[in-house]
Amino acid sequence: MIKLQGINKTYNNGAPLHVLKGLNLEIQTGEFAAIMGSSGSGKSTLLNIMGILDDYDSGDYYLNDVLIKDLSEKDSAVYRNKLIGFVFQSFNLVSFKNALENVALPLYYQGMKRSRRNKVAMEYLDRVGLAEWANHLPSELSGGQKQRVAIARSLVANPRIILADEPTGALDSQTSIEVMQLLQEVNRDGMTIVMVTHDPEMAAMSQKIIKIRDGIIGSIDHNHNGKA
Amino acid sequence: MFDLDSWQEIWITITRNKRRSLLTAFGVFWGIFMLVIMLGAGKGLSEGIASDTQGFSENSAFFYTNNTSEPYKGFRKGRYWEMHETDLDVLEAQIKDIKYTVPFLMGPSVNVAHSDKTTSCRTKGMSPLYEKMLPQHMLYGRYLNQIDVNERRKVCVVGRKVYEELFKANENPLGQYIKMFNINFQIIGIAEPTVSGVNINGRDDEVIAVPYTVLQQIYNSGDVVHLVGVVAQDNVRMSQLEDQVKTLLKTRHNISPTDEFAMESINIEKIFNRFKMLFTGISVLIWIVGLGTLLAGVVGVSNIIMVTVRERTKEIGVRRAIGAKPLAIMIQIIKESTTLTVLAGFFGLAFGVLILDLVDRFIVSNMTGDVFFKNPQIEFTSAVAAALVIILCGIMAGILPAYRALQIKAIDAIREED
Repeated sequence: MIKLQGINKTYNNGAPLHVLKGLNLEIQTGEFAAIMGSSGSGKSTLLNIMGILDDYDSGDYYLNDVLIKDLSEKDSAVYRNKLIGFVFQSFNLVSFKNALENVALPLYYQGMKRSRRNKVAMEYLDRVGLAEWANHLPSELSGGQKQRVAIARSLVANPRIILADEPTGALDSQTSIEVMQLLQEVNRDGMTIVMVTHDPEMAAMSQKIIKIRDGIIGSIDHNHNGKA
Repeated sequence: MFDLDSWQEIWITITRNKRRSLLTAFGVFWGIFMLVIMLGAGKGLSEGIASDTQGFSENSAFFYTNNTSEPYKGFRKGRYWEMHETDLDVLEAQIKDIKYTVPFLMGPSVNVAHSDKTTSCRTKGMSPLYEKMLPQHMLYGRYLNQIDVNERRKVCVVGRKVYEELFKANENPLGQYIKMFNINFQIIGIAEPTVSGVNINGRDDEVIAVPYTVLQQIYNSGDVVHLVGVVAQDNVRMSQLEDQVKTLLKTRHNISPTDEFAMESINIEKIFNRFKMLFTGISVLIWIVGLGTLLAGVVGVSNIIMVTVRERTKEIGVRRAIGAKPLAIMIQIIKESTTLTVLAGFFGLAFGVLILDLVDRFIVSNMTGDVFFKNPQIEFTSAVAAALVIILCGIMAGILPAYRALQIKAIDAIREED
């Protein structure tokens, strides 16, 4: 599903910072991978590159067998919309839209008709157990509920992969586990998930723990408990 | 293609900070309002002046004589000379571009008596052609005609104000006699000029007009005329004829061709053109000032949209991340600025038109006397132009913020430190 070959990335803010140093990584379809690493190790940069949010200097990145390189803003928007679902640490719901409208947003950018996309969005909202909260604004939802809305939004366009950046970073431990269980459920239905986290407890709930150290892969541990 | 979500979003963005949006919108509102008011005032002024001169044969000039200022062909300088009726015939015969010529005689101020009332006023020796040149509004009777002139009838057309002094209100003066020059003149009409902006030897409602031949007879001055009015053919401009007329008259009276002083003229066309230029100037000025005011408002809108873009950095980033194309974001921002501008602008337009209408209805319509202000309204084309300007301004106001919004990358949504 994801294939990274010799990815290099240098930030040129003042002193050049070589973040990713020829990183190679492959993630198979249906995997639930957690990326860990100390701050500054390059794990967020890696996720940004995988999410086509950031470009890279050299190497090749294949997503769903498509080479993602030097795309225009427009094309990368289309790929993000069709191939990738994002889950953010701070949820990033649009504050003046209700839960249903938030979930439907990616479909809006696909140009789907209002009635149809609301119907689809409702199905996904139901799947994360928030059907009766459809007309509530994000400010009326708890943190866990917000993240579940965000997960529904990431799924609604039926992407090939979910990228989650510290999805439990803003949640208490009980809700974190609930959100992780939801992600596991989604994974069981066949979705590929890549998650960045610094919390070993959360990482332990995935199948594969990728540790980044100084811009390259430090170690990859297969975690057979992750499926539980 | 009505996109409910898009408009809902615009409405939410605008109403999220109501006071700020209102103050911003006021800038545009005021700009358009001022533009409309000024356009209306400009139109009122120009129509007011135009109605003062309407009906006058614009394509005309008046020629009059002075003592010569140069010696010529043995004549000394300072010679007194006069024009004659034959000059008019020669002008019409020799210059084909002349439509017709009108003779004028300036009469003296006289005391006029009717029964027990007297007054004094100026007299004019007129030709029926004068009415063709400058239409008269007849309150009673008719203007002079060619038979009056040919037969030297002792008839007169009395100006309205003179009539009011000599007669009781609403008294029919037709056929009655007034006495001046120790002669009884029969009244054939009461006149009021339709045009108050152009006067030849006194306002037509303050004088008594008699056939010019009668004045010639009274003063035993032969066929002398004091003033010659020349009306050019419709396809010729008076300015082109002016010098021809002068040259011909000078040649006939042995005046030096270079003597500008002896033969002078008032070119009505030039005066009208000067007015027209003045009003063109005023209207250009109005647009410049109006658009300037509007521009200030538009800059305000641009500024506020810029601020909302800044406030929404994260939201726009999220939208980019979940698949909004750059064009979609750009259109949304421009729609926002256009909506705000157009709403405010159209309110300004409507309010301006309302105020103009009220002014017209309650103030201008009740003005009496010499009205120099008439129909202070804006023309439909001006209103359409203003509306187009508003829409254009709205789009312009959005361009810079939209460009700014395009700079926001999806990655900005991820950066948690913001």
